[in-house]
Amino acid sequence: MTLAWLLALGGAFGVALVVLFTLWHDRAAQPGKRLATAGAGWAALLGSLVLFDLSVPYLVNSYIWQIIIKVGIYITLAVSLNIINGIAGQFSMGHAGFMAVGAYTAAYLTMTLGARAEGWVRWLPWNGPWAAFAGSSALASLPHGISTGIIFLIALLAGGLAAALAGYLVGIPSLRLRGDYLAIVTLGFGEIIRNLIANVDVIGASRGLPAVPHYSNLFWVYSMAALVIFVSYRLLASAPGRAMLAVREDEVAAAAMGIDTTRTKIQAFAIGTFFAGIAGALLGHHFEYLHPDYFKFDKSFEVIIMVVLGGMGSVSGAAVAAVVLAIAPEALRYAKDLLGNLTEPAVLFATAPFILFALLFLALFAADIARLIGRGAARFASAVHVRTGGGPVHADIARLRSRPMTRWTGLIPAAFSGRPALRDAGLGGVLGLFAAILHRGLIGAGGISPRIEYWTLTLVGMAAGLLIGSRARGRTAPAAGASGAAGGDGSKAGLGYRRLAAVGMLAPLGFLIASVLELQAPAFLERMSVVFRNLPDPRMVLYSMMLIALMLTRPTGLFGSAEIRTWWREKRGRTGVAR
Amino acid sequence: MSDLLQHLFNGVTTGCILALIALGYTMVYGVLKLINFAHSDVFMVGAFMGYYGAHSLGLGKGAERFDPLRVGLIFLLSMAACGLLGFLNEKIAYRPLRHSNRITSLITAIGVSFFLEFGGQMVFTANYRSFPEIIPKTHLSFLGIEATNYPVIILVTAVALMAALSYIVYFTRFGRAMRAVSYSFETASLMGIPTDRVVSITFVIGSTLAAAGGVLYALNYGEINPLMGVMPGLKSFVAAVLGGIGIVPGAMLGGLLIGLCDEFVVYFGLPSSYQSAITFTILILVLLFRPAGLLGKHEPEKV
Repeated sequence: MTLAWLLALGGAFGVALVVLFTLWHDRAAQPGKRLATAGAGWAALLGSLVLFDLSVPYLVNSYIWQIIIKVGIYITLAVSLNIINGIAGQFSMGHAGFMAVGAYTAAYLTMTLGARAEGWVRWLPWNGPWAAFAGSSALASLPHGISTGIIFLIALLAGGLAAALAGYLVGIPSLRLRGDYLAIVTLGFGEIIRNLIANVDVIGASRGLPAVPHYSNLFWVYSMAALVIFVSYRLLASAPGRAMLAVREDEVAAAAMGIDTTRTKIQAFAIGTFFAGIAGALLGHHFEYLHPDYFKFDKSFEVIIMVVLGGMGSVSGAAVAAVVLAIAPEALRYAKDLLGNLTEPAVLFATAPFILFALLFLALFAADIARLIGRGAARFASAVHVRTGGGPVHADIARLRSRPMTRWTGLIPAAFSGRPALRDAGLGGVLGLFAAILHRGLIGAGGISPRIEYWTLTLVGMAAGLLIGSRARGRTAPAAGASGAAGGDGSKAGLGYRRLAAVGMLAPLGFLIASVLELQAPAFLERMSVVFRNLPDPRMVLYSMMLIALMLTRPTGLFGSAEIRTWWREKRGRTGVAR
Repeated sequence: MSDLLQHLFNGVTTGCILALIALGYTMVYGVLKLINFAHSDVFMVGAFMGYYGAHSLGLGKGAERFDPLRVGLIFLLSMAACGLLGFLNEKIAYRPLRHSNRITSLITAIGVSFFLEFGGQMVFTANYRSFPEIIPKTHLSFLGIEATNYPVIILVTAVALMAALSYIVYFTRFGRAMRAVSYSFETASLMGIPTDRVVSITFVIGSTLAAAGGVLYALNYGEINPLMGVMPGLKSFVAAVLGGIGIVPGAMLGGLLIGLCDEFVVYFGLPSSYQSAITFTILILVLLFRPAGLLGKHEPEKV
């Protein structure tokens, strides 16, 4: 254990060295020095990875170990797709297919050639017959690791090359297409590849390929992840990479500048699919089992989400998003366990903020839908009014008709826009209500009637919310008059009479909700717990919601760069659609 | 010979359902230049609405005799629900993105599609359910073809719906507006056509057709699940591209051809697991050699 800690410390030291060398590398001007720093950086990285590989399994449990490996593979996948989708701007949806090519090729190699190679591996200098005399199994296992490492490296490269070949073959015809057609065709190719694999008997067909040797470890996974990141960054600084950026920004202009666009796109495709194949190979030798169904197009979709979330074209973004999305399902599993025990007071206390936001979100969504319906009804009414020859449209109808929908329906901050008082009162009221529920759930009220407690706390919360909110708004907009004592004349700040009246009208509603909650809360919580306990894997639903919300609010992704923003803002002409 | 006829008949039946879905793809692509990936899942929701409709109308265990009122109600319910779904889909997810890049909309469409699929898994559970026989099954044999009455019902319903759609698109005011929007969005809006409304109605019509297709499909195959839309959806998209995307008769033609092609994979003795591979091969060949589709006119891209 101590040894493991020491080794891990050494690994951390190595990582620090890598950082140092990277910084140094950027400063070093002469080519010779640059080569030396790059070499030293790689040596330090590989060395620290070996140290981590030897130590980390002893420091964490197998569950965390699995997650660590998964993160590394996902990084490779996301960054490789980013070369195609982000850097070259060619929207590919068939990444899983190329992963499958790499995975199956590598697995086939290690299972056949690897077994045959055992024969000659025994005669390698460090594995010779004399190895048996070494006596210590620990000593013997390290050289064995090296020889299987050589086999695995060959298999990895072969898997990558096979995938790159597939990518090349697929790319030649399909990269003549653009945009959504390219997306569909790559999706089609991904499915075709999967379909073909499911019909080849040598690699298990639709039964799957069991007993793939377990060669993937932290060293291989993370050195490949580092390699693809390195290649991406070098690519961005090289002529072919610049050509890819140019093609992404404007293909016609790039062609006019003398760039062979087809060649550039195919290059990007081949590089991206090469690393997809390597990631697939790592995956296969990690799970020790391959099945064509694993490479369905929702796998491609998952990788696309990583690239999009990170910001198309951003290497670091893709890597960070891969880490986040590889860990997210585990966090979700934890949340699900938590939500499955809602009736326990401690759990309720811990999850109260989430429930609160969920309720708020639902209420807002309902309000938006109601507004939609109301607007539809107003339109209908006014249409009838006009058709039947009525006089001028009633002011209320006209107002309802012209009221715009919130732009991002249902997204919390915007849905409140223009309704700050409602936001403050609602937030305060819900908080008060929760305070009451929590108070009763955790401590129990001594002799106070529960309804009175709910009612009072809700009201107090609402009033407090309004007061605090209007004060805050008054501060930010002093011109509107901070006192607000002038009364309900529509001044924006202060607690006007109209608002007080509104609170007065909302209070019975709060009372009603509170009493219903009091009667129903335990049963409701129990039911919710059961629902959460029986929920299927919510990962894909959350991913897709995230994707939609991201596209609506920030299509450049979290780390999208400025250049790409111009790309995203592109070309109303090409969409052919204006508002 | 009768074997060939049998396969032709089966192919046309499948093709009709595919054509119904393909129409939704092609109309939306026509007006918005957007591949509405979520369309295949509207199809799935349609089938599920049919299922729940059948159960709530007392046909959950199947019908002893044909009850046109209740069957019609089931179809109407499913179509109305999906029309609303399509409307909301456009309103919430696609309308705010009118201005943005096509890829942004495409990613959103994929997101909506996955949301419906996996949200469907949450709401309807991931289990396969058997779809009730809302119309009693009888056996028919004619011209050496052995079939139940279901394919015949599918053929009749699908042809009727397609005829109705053709009428709407080519002989009504709205249809003319839709074709104008499809021809040029901006010009149409300058000519006073309420483009937003046209887009909404296009989504509603496409979704109702998909819902009808979903119920028919569920009736024919007898089984539904939240991921049932994926394959028919992809196939009917291929059908829409094959016929020429954005062209209404093209979608019908393409649907028939893809349905026949699927059936002939079986006829020629290939394993049926090759079906989707062959469908996609067709797609790729079409896009490479005739990107505008069979009925489309090729327009060179302008800078």
